[in-house]
Amino acid sequence: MTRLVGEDIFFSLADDIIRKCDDAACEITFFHNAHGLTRLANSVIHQNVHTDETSVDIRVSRGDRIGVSSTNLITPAGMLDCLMNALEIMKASEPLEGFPGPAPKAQYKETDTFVESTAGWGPDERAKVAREAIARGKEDGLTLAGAVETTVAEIAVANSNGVRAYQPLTSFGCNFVAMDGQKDDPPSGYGALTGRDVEKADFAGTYDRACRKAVLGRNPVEIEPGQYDVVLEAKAFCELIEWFNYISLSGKSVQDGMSPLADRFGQKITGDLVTMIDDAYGSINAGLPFDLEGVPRQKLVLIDHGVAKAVAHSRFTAAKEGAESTGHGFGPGAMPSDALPLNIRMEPGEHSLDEMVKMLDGGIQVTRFHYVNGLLDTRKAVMTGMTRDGAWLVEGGEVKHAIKNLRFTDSMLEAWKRIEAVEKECHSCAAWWSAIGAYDIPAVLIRNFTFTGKTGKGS
Amino acid sequence: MEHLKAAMDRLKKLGCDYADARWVETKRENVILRNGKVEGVSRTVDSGVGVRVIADGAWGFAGVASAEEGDIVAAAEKALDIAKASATAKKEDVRLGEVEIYQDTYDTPVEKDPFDVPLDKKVQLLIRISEILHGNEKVVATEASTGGIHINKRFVSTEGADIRQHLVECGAGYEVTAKEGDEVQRRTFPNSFRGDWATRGWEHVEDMKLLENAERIRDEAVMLLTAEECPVGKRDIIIHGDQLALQVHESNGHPIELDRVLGTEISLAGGSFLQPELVGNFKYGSKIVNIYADSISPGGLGTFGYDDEGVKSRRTDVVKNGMFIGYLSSRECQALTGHPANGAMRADGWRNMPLIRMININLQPGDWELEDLIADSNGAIFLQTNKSWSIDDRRVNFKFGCELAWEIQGGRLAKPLKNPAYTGITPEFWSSCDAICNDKYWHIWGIPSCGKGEPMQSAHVAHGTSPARFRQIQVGGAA
Repeated sequence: MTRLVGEDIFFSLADDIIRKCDDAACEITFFHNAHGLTRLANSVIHQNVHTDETSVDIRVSRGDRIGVSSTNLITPAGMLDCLMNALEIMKASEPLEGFPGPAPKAQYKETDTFVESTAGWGPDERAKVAREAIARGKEDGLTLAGAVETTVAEIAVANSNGVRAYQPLTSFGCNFVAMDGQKDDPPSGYGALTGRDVEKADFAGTYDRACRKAVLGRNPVEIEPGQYDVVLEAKAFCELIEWFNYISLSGKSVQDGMSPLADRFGQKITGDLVTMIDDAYGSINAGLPFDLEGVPRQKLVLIDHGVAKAVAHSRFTAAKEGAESTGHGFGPGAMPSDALPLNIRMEPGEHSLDEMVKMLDGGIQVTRFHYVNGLLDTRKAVMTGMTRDGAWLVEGGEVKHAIKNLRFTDSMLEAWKRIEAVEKECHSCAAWWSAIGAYDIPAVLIRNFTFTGKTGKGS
Repeated sequence: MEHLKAAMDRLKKLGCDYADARWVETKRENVILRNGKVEGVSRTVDSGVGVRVIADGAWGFAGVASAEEGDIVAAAEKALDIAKASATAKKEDVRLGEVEIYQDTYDTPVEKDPFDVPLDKKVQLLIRISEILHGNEKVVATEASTGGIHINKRFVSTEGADIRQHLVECGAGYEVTAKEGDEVQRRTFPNSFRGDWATRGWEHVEDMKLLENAERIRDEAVMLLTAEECPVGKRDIIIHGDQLALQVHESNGHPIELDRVLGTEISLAGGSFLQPELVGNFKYGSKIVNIYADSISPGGLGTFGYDDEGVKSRRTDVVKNGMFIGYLSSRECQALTGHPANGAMRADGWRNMPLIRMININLQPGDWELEDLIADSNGAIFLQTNKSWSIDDRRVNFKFGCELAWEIQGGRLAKPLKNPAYTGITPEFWSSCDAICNDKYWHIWGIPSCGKGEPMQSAHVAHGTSPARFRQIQVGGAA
């Protein structure tokens, strides 16, 4: 069982630092992370790791001069060195016009982000899941790869205005790739799961899904690139939304002019069926009720039935627009401009996944994408990437056969105008900040999605 | 850090097949200006110990952010427990290939320690750059940054290795975004994504000619606002060294990682088309394509004395006269395949287990003058500076976007083109290479953020390249 440091110790350390700041304002963020991860490949555990550490970020400011320092040496001497570094930087630095200083004291809603049973998991429990996945794969002659991980984390935010915010978190995640043989490019299937309570996790259903997809992926045929109607399963659609978030949904990306939402607020930028909300309180896995600047997280409607509505702000990017922070700042450990939504939900629709597949004729069902990139033309949200771990040609509403991987390249603003159906259920998809939040995403049916290339070995 | 040896003694007593421990202390300083204002000056200290154990024929790893003997020994015991848990799902015992065991030290040669350069000097340089970049009303955003890193490491093992290293890294770069109406374009210098980094001191930044190029880069961003879209079709292309570095990275560097080839990254980063039976039998590129891996090139961001399992740095040929002949390997992969460990096992700090990572993966220069190559390439497209990157999970089908392209007419870069992209199949692409510029144009581009592994690890790697020509490649605009 991972032991929590606890808010009393964090805030006592913070009080001590704030007292030593004299007349400088001070913001402090502690992050304690105990992470265990078991990786499997070729149906054996090949990596099994555990780390446990606490780090602190300190930002001091006097007027609009700031200094930042971080350390994982959480000792009186280490913390004092960190503060002295921050103060020295502040004195030597140039003013940052518009820097709003620390957030005022606030009240936060409660969110339930800690589950005792998850904190109790260790390498033996993770290895058991790995063994069971491997055994399931053997039933179909499949090789298993993937990972099982658990995290126990604590975040504490304090500042010289009296902000004291603390949240313990647990999370688990797993992903499995089942392969039919170990050759260069075997048929494969994928399943993944993330959540806060490991006792509620359906690991068996997840690796079973990966195995069933691998079996269905046998004997893939090559099809030519072109425009196809597609059903993007939640993981595939999530990879597009993850990139869309990165290029579009922060105050910084709008102020830089790179976001497809810049200059277009209030305008319809994509289809009616696209409504995206950042909601730490209503997501499948509850999120942090405050950001790393100590500002309460707002529920934020980002895109409402295709209309650009809002983006996430830190105190600094909000101040540039004469607005209030939305509670999405990354705090002293990042730049004052850095902010992102961390709990995006795409509003669900009315169809089941099976119903959407039945709506395809000559279309493609996609499990997930590989290596999506959204920087080709960010104003149009042009993205490219490859299908991976299971894609099928669907004719007359029936899965006809597996297909070899294809490359898509398309503008998401345009493609999402052609979303014709949305799954009635959201799935929690892991993000790289998964201890803090995740994406809640349904599958979608998109007409005329553009594939521009296919895989192959060449000469 | 004698406590590392205490941890090794404890593990020997408890019974392990092998163990090593790494103490790593990383100090960073970053200075970032956005829109001419100092938005981020930060110093970070990160220190801890990672212990790797083979017990009952399986791996375990535990890390702790502490320098206390009790904590380090406890981490060692935790790693042992984890190894025993891993052993419940093994097929065969993990074995390590035999290597020479060293007791040694290594220090990055540095002329000007970046931490000795006054903060004000760094800030003032970035302010002057920003002023130039903002010298056009169509510029809407700029960012300029510099940074320095000190890494102190000590590696000990139950085999008697004891290696101390002090590595120094330094880098800088800037970007400028121009906007007019709905059109937005960005240029960066000397390379995209945090510029160019090296295992050198502040002299690396001084050599970059950051100020001298700022006006040109700003004007190119503005020029792109009204440039024509890159045409679609098969064209001869010349790729500048900065973009070619990423091409080498994605289509050669990753697929030669032998752990990936053997499937250990399959669930996340994917596999590799360069399977073991292809070594010595596969035409990867044309006869002028020679690629080698090393951790010894002066200044390369992948240059050091020893890797994170104590293997001495060296050079390995990867592609010779177009034939695929070698991998990046580890001691475990050496035992499995016979491909010798070649100093490529690296971990992101103390908290991660080492993986096979790129070091310096370099394309050997050819003999062309760039001016001659451009003059010889009428109708070709010249592509510069990476904007986007994507490649499939076997590293075969790729698509890269660049910041800027030029159509070559009349023996010169005649017409700028916006939103250029090119796509291809890795061995077909490298087989179409018919000209590589000489060492006058060759530069080792330092990439400070190569991701791999679960948990995700970021490695510092480099690629030596000079501009090269490829025949009849599919090019096109972003969409």
